[in-house]
Amino acid sequence: MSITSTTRTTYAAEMAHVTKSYGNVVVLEDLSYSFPSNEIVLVEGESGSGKSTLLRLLQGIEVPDYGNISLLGHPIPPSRSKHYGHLLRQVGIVFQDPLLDNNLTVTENATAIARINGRWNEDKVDDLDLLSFIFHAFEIERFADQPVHQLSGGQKLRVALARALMSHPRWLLLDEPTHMVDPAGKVGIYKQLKGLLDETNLGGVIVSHDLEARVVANKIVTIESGRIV
Amino acid sequence: MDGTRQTRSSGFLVHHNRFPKPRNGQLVAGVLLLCLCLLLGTVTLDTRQIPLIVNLTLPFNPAVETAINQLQGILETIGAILLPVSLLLLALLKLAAYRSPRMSQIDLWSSREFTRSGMRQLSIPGLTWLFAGSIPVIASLGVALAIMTTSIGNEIVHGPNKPIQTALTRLTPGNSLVVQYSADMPMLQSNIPISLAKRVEAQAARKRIQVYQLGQNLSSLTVGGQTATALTLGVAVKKNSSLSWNPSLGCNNVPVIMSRSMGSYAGELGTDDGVGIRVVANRSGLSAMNRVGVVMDQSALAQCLDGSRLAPINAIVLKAPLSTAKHLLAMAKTPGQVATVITKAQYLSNSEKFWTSNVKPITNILAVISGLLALVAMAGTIASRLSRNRREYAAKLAAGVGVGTLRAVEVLRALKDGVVATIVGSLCSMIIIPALSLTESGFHPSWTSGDALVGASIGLLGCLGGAFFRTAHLDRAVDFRESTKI
Repeated sequence: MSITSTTRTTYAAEMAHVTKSYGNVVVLEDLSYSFPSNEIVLVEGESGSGKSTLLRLLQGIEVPDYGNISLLGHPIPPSRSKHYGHLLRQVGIVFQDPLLDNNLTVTENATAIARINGRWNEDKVDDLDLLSFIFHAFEIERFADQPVHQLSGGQKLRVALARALMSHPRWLLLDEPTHMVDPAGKVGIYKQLKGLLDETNLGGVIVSHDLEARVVANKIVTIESGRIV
Repeated sequence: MDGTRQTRSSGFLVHHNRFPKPRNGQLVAGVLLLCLCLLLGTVTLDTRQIPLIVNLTLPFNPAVETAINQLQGILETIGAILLPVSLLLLALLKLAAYRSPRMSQIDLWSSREFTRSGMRQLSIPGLTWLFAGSIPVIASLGVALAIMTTSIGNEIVHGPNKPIQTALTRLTPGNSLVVQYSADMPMLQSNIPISLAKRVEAQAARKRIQVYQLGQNLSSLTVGGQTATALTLGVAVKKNSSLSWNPSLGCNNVPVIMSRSMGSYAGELGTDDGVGIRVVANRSGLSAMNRVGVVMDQSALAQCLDGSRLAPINAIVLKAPLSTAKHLLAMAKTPGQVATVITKAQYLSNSEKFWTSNVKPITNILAVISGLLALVAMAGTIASRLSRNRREYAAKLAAGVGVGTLRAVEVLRALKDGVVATIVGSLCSMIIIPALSLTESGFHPSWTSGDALVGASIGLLGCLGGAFFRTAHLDRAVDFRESTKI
C-alpha cells in the first residue's frame, strides 16, 4: 500500500510572472512562486483575492495572460490535448463542492476515477489495502456501501478526498474543501487529512480561509490584491 | 417637503440613467401581443366561415415512391444487422470488463444515472448488470410506434388479399385464372363474357379439369344494424347446397356466407346493395380492412347485384397449370375477344402492388417520422442528461478522464437504451397491435418479427444517432471551466 509522493522534482509546480485578468479586472499580477513537492502550502486570502484563480491556473483550467506555469516538471499543455489529461491524472483534485455521483455508493465514488484512469484495480491486494487505509483514515468504512446522497456534507467531503487520494496522486490541489462543513467538522477533517498526509509525505496546495486548515500546512502564503504578500 | 423628490444615495444610477428599465420593454411586448391576439381572433372567426387552406403540392414522382417503398426492407436489414451487433458489442464489453477495471468502470457508468436530480425514470434495478437500469420511455414509444405503423402498412398491403385467398383456396380452388387482362385484381374492373366462360367450361370438361366461375361485386352491406363496404363474391353452387339460390323466389333472402368479422348469426337478414340477403353461415378469413367478405351463388350475383342474368363474370378459376390453362383459353377464344390467363399468385401480387403503390408509402413515411421522433427525443434526452450531470462530467474531466472516454460512456448508454427500447417497444406493440382490430371490421394487423426489426433499427439508430449528435462536442457541452466554478 502506498500513495506515491514525488521525489524527482523539488518543486511540484512553479509559477513565473503570472498575470491573469477577467476583462478589465486583474486578479493575479506578476505572481511568481514555487510549490515544493512534499509540502502542503496553504493559500489564504480574502474573497476575491485570487486564491481560486491561482488553483485553477495550476490545474490548467484557466490559462494565464502572461507568464509561465509548470506542473510536475512540465509546462501545462492545452486543456484539449492528451498530455493534459495525462498530467491531471497525476494530481488529486478536490473542488469546493465535492461533485460526487450522488446515485453511486461511497466505494463506487471513491474508486471510479482511479479505475477508469487505470490507477486502481480491485484484484490487486495493494490497491484494496490502499482503499481500506484511506477509508479508515477518513472514518467512512461503515458508509462504504451507502449511496452518497444519504451522507452529510462532511462525509461527502471525506469521500471526495478519498477519491482524490485513490489515484496514487503525486500532488494535491484542494479548493476550499471544507467550506460547506461546520467548524467542528472542519477540525476533524483536517486532523484526519494531516494524519494521512504525514504518513504519505504527499504535498499540495490548499486554498482556504479556514483557520482550521493551518493544522495541515507546512507553509502559509497570503494573497492580497493579486499578489503574494 | 417642497414637493421635490430627494435622493438619499449618491444617485449615480439616476444621473447616468444606467438602471435598466425592463418594464418599458414589457409594456411594448404586451401591447404587441394584444394586437396580435385581436388580429388572430378576427382571422380565426373569419376562417371558420371561409376556411383557409394551404394546398401546395408537387407532381407525383415514381422514383420517390419506389425509394419510400424500399425503406421498410432497408430498415429491416439494418435492424437485422444492428440488433445482434449491438448485443455482441455489449457482450464483448461485459467480457472485457471482467479483465479490465477501466472497461468495468465504463460499463458501470453507462448503466447508472450519476445524479438523482431530475430522475423520473421507470427503473428496473435487476437489469442494471445486463443493460441499463431504467426504461427509455420515449425511445420505447418510438419503437412501438414504428412497429405499429409497419404492421398497419403490411395489413393494408396484404389484408385485401385475404378474401380472395380464401375464395381461391377453399371456395373455388384453382391455380390459374382466366381474366380480361394480366393486371387484373379485385379492385379493378374485369369482365369475361358469358359466352367465353361457357366455351372455357366446355373445353375444361373435355379435359376433366375442374373449373369455377368467380364473380365479384364491390357493394354496400347492411346486416344487424351495421353498415359496411363489402366484396361480394359469386361462386358456382351445387343445387342442394344451403348457398344455392332459387331464381323463382326473386332477389329476396338470397343465401350468403358472411364474414365472421360482422358478428352476424345464421338466419339473420340484411341487404347487399339493396338486395335482400339471409346469412346461412359465417366464415373467418373472408374480410379485409376495407371490405367485408360475402359469398353468394354466382347466378344470384349476376342477376340480383349485377342486374342481368347475362352479366359477365370476373374470372374463371381453373385447377390446372398455367400452360394448360393458356392452351384451353386459346381453344375457347373467338377472334376479337380480350382475355388472358394469369396464375393465382400473380392475381394476388397484382392486388399487393395496387395497395403498395397507393397506401404503403404513407405508412412508411409514418414509420420514418416515428424514427425521426425517436432520434430527436433521444438527442433531447441525452442533452438533458448532459445538462443535468454537467458538473459531475466536469469533475471527471478535471480529474483527467478523457473526453473520448466520457463519449464512449454516453454512446454505450445509448446502445443499452436502444436495446432495452427495442425489447420494451416490441412487447408493447405485441399487446397493442391486436387491440387495433377493435377499430375496424376486417382489420387484423399482425405483429411480425420483420416489423420488430424495423422497430429495432428505429430504436437503435435513434438512440445512437442522438448520442453521437449530442456528444460530438461533449467538452463544449459540459464546459468544465464553468462547471467546476462554485
